[in-house]
Parts: sequence; structure tokens; C-alpha cells
Amino acid sequence: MSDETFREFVVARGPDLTRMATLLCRDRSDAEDLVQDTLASAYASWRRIEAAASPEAYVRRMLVNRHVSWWRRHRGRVEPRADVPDVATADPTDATANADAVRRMLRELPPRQRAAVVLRYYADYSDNQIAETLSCTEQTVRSQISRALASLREPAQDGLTERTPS
Amino acid sequence: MTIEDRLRNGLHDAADGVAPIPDLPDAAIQRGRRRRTVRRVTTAGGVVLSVAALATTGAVVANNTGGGSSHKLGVGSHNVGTQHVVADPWWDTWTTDRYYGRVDPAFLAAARPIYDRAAGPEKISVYAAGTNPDGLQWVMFTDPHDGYVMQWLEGHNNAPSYGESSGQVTPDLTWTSWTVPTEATQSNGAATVEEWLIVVGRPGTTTIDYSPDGTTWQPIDVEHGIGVMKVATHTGFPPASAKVRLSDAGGVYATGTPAGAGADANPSDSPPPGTGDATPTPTPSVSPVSTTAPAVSGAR
Repeated sequence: MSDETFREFVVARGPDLTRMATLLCRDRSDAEDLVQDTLASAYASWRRIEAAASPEAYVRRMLVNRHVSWWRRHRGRVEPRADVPDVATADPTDATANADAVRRMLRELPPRQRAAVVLRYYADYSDNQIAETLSCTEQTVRSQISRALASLREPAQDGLTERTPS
Repeated sequence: MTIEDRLRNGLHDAADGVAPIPDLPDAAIQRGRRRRTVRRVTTAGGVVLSVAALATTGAVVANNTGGGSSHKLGVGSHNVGTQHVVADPWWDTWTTDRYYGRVDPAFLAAARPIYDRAAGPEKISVYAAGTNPDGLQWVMFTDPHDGYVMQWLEGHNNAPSYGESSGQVTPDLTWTSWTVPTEATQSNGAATVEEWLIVVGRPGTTTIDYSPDGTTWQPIDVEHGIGVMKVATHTGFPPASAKVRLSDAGGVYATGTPAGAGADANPSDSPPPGTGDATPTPTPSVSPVSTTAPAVSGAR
């Protein structure tokens, strides 16, 4: 067990995992719990994960799977951190409005659809990568994303502003 | 601008505003260490028992009461779950070849990274395995690289959930437990979550009883040594004094009392709602696949 390499991994990848978890979860405290849970599991198996071709992909998959099964289990454990803001404060710009809108819209999606959307449009995963992560077929991935987009079309038109991609 | 573009922008905007978690590396290491430590147990027989504890889920633990006649159920640190599974502490006496619902060999093959270490392909001993009606695949196995401690692995669609790594149980326990899902509960704040108690006994265990108060007993439906009971649709399970007890293959409790003798069965102690309903255990009498995992080979 190498604490040092694990620590280096968390320092490097923790922020990204936190961002993804925040997109997957309904609130900040769930996201923190998801990240901490995932990393605690990763720590316990770090020797194996460290040897994997891509520890980052492996841990990301753990996080997404845990998120999906988390909802399946209807877990009640929440360890909120009152001292951490939900998001960094910023001027009320289009970006802030977009961020708020997309979080609201994601909350309305079932977990697997939400995961598929986040993996596709945030992590830029291919159908194949999403299918591997979610343990389903590529056809299922396309179906999940199609349904999600159908659900999001109207609120996205109303809630997300048009602007040049950054 | 397409909806996909808007969505992509919105997701990145949302992600950009996420504050980092303070002290995450230290917190993760501490939590990971605690997870490993908390699940280590030395049983009465001196056997180190390790079960993939699904530490993040609701867990019911069974504490040996000392007399060996019954075991107290207690709530783990996380008390919400949909199934509570308790394993017999004498798992090491189990025979292999216990299958409840076919588990696809592909699942075991896909599980290879869990048990196949750098040493290369190796065989694991599968003590029990199954596929639940909701598609959950599970297997209890021992792995020589872990000193033949019992481990639990679950997954779906032949894909093990690597998020649920093996773990160990607390030092003062002779039983352990874990939780697996029974139903999709996607709605936030859903009021009805079914609670199931599943007691995995030794092969041949004929009687498993549950007591909500530690004194009155009610039988749990048993098939192939596994007892299943739908407890309720509340999150307060188990009651503080709840216990379970099991017979051996000869139908005798550890106290020597014949199981089902009725000495402490209480007719007024009606089963909880739903007891005897369709169980979440799979259909029995399926063809065994193999006593070990497929002879996996090749690089990971």
C-alpha cells in the first residue's frame, strides 16, 4: 500500500472527481460523500488500482457505479458540510445562470440517464466508454441519452443561454 | 446552437464553479484505513473473516451473544438499506457448489481483477452464488491470495461493481453482514422502501428464526440454508433487541434444542407484514456452474 501514490492521485484527480460527483448528485453533501466513499474504497484496493492501465478511469468508473447503485439503494446517509459553499460565488453571469439551470435539469433525470449525460457531455466519453462504465450496451447508452435529451429539450431551450462554447 | 452544445456548456459551467473538498487526500486515507480496520474480525475459532462489506450501504450486524444459541442483530453505522444480509459465522465449514439462480460464468470471469493478482490466473472457491430477480449477481468466495477469507462480490450484467471492494468486519463480531439492493429507488424521498432480512446459513441449515424482541421467535422461510423474510417498509429495522438463530443440518439449535420444538414460539407474535411473500432469492435447483471460477487466463 502506497499512501504516497494514493495521495498524489487524490491531489491530482480529486478536484475532477468532485466536479463529476457534483454533476451526478443532487446536492453538494451527497457529492462529497460520494467522492469520499469512492476514494475510501479506492484506498482499500489501491495496490490493484494503481496497477491498472488507467487508475483515473478505474476510479471514475467506481464513482459512477457507486452513484447509480447509491440511488438504487436509496441510501439515507448524508454527511453535510455546512462550511463549504455549494459552488464558488461569482458574478451573475451567463455562466452562473447556465450552471444553475443545468443542475436543476439534471436533478430531474433518473440516475443512469444523468450519468450517461454527464459522461457524454462533460467527460466527453464515447458510447463505448459510457457502456463500459455503466455496464450496459452501446444501444442502451444511446437510448438513455436520447431520452434524457428529450426530457431536457424544453427546459434547455428556456433555461440555457446561447453563447460561444468556452 | 444545439441542445447538446447548450448542455455541454452548462455542464462545464456547473463544474467550473465546484469548490474543492478541503483536506480530501487525508480524509480519504483516514476513511479508507478505517474501512479496512473496522471490518477485521477474529472469530471465536481464530479465523479471520473477511467479507466485502459494502461499507457504504445500510448494514445489519449480528453480534454473538456468547451462548451460541442466538445472535443479536444490530444496526450498522448506516442504517438505511433495502436488504440486510447476515452470513453464518461458520462459513468456513460450508461446502462449495451452492448456487441459487444461475450466476453467469462471465460474471466470475469479469471479476477476475478482484481475485486475480499479479501472480496470474488462480482459482477461487465459490461457496455461494446467485442472481437475484432484479438482476443483481453475487458471489461469495475465498481467494488464496487473501488467505482464503470469505469475500462478497456483486454486480450487474456480468460486470462486477468494483466500487464494492472486499473488506473486513469488526473485531467484536462473529457474524457479518452487508446490504444489497432489491429495487430501484430513484425517486428522492420515496416513502416505501422494502426491508428484507436474508440470513445465509450453512448448507443444510433447516431452521432460521427471527426474534424482534430477543425472546419470542418466528420462523423465516428457508430454502437451501438461506432464510428470507420481508420485514417491513420502514427504515427502523432492526429493533434494538432483534436476534436470529439457526439450526444445524440436523435441525438442532446450538443449545441442543430441536428446532421447531415450539418451546419459545409465540403464536401471538405474528410475522411482520409481508412475511412469506415472494422472496427475492432466485429460483432454486439450477445447474451448478463450477466449483471454482472459470480458469481465467491472460493478462488483466
